[in-house]
Amino acid sequence: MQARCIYFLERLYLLIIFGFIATPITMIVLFSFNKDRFPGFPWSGFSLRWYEAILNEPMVIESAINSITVGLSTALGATIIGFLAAYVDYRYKFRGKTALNLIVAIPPAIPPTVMGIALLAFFARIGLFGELKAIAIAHIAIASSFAMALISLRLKELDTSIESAAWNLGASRLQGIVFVILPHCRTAILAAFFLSFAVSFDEFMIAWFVGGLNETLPVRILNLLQGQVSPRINAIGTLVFALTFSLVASTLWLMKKKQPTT
Amino acid sequence: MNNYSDNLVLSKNISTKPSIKVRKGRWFPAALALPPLLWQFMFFVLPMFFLLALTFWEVKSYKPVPAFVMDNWIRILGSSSFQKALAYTIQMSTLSSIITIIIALPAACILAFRINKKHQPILIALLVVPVFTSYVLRTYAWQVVLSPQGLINWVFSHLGVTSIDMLGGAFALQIGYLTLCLPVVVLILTFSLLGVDRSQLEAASNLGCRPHQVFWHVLLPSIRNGILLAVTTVFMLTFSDYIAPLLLSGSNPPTLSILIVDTIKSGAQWPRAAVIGIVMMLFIGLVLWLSQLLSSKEKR
Repeated sequence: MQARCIYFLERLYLLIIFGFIATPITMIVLFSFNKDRFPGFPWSGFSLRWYEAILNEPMVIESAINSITVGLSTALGATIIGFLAAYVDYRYKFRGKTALNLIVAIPPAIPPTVMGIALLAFFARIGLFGELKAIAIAHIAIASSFAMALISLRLKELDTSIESAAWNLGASRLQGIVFVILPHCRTAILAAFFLSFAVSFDEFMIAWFVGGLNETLPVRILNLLQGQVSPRINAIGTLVFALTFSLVASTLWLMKKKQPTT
Repeated sequence: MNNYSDNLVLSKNISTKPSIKVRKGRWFPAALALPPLLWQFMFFVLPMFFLLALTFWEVKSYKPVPAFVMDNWIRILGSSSFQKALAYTIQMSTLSSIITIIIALPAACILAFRINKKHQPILIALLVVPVFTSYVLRTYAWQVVLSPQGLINWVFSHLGVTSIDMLGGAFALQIGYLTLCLPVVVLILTFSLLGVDRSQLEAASNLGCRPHQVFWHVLLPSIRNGILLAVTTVFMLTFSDYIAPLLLSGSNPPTLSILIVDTIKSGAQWPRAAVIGIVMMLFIGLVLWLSQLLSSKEKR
């Protein structure tokens, strides 16, 4: 009896924790389909009008396109930088290796406000301020850390002697990478691409500071939230959730997948 | 003749030791390391040092110009609004660290030890997803829950309780901080609990330890480093958070991040904002150093 009671209390506790985490997301999704203009209770009926409304908002559409452009550039850049850093760490020993690992790993831990002013002042100085390029450059510096972590995780599963065997059989170092390392890491590389995109797509502080008039979607959302809040924000939010959810879920799925030995 | 000696060398190699063909030449690894090194140096290390230099610059006709003056440091460190914001931010971050650990630890214990192993990965995935999912929107959604017309007050009104405005204070701020930190902290603690040798726990209870004794004297000490990592993570995340104070506590009183943004957006006082930024980095460094001191040195 007591054991069942404890079992029940444990499940209840987990339910409350997961409920707390899910509440905000549920709220946004629910109210995006609400007919009423104000997010009051109870719900006043089903409607898709807020989704239609965002189609007629050029600033939202434009910021979404900006976000996707920046996100794709970031994903590409961060995956390349992250792969190179992970491979060099896996394959070679050299002086200053720890320093290289650290400058790739640390950026996400720096307060975004601090990174924000540092990059704002720096980009203003070198004349990149206010361009989408600047946002992507900064996002690559941050997202590489995640890409490197995912790819390193997968490289650890590969015995270093396998690539040496390829060299022994006459492969050049570039061929070793192309025919041994890349095939082994392909799911992790794809995962790194997705996660880097998600990180960039969610980042608002640096994008706000260095983007000037070029707004990304999170920056637009923040600006919308500081004005008269419309339920359109819930519709935008639901779409954003749907995208990031699928990106992060695919990342997790790809990283879990057992690599078929080729 | 030449051919013959080549073969001889080869066979000698095979007989003595397996020949590992060592690819020499340092240009190749250097070429691979160069892009990450250059990129991170240009767009991370350099801007951070530039930030430090900026704290000594002057602002002339709304533009920061190179100089070496202490004026920004004196003004910021001496201003009462900065001191208040610093004290308030430290206070709120510390409080959040305590609250988050207390709420997360039981959840992590259940997830690590009391859940069917089949369900564990999916529950862990459910914690990872929110970490990367629009924190701005999740925080905003709490407005809908906590506001006078919100979900909680709607429930209250049916229970006959008078409505209360929960927005705009330390309570709402802590809810925002929990939204930011809870999934990460449950993950950190769950993984450090999964690393604990369970036979130790069983040994302790076989030797007559009561459950609470096992918890305090065996379990907690063995996840000490995990707890420290969780505390520093909460501190770092909340210390630099801009969204929860902006959307939930109405920036009143302001935190350091609010102060930085205000300093930048209200004119060209970048050097002063840089001072606040450097102070934030120093505090985070201090917290990391403290947790390093407290962490148990032995490697498991």
